[in-house]
Amino acid sequence: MPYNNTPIAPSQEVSGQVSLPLARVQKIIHADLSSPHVSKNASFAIALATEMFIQHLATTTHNVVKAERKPRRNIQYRDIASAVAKTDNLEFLVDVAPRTMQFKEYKKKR
Amino acid sequence: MSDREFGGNDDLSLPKATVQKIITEILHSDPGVTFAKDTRDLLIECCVEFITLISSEANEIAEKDAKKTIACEHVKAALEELDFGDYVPAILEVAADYKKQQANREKKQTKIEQSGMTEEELIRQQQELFRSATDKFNAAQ
Repeated sequence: MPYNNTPIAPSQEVSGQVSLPLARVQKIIHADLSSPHVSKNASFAIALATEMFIQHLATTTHNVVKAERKPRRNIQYRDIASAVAKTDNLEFLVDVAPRTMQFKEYKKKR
Repeated sequence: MSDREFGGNDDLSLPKATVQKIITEILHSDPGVTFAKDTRDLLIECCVEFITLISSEANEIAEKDAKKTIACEHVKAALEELDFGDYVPAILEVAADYKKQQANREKKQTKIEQSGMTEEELIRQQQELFRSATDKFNAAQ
């Protein structure tokens, strides 16, 4: 049987449910949009996509840590920033999780 | 983090415990590994950003489609547009399941409404049915 070895595709068990609270997801959706018209199924799809996204981001970040020469047990802020910088479809997060830099580099830039 | 603007006046985020649960499930292959607390909070912020991103993309797609309401189709197209196309098959499956559940719930609701009786009357009718069934059972003894 052909096995899908894509490291990025997260696993998802099939049940008509999602762990994240739909109400919160809907609040976030509506905070940004001008029109309040979002179908319930669409909100559900977005909640589901978000859950998969958490899995994706957590896995990618975990892989970043695993790939280090001295892998740590505790995943840190800079690991997410690394994962974001390296992954194409995470580019939109560049402002949310900017690469941290050493203070002396920052001083040099000014 | 309190000086961050979210474009709304309420606290727009996801419950930390739920997100933590999802993270733990993902990392179960490597049980010693944990996410530092601020890292998990960053993850949550990334999610909020993600939701906003998908919503606005889906919104644009819906408008181009001359539809006033964002539907599942638009979300699917948005995901593909934003390079998250791998999510689409799983989402379609689970969303179909969810739609079925919703339809069942509505069916049960309308059946009760369609009977045209109030809840009390329905309960009384049910008790009468029980009583007549018990009588029939006793008579047959």
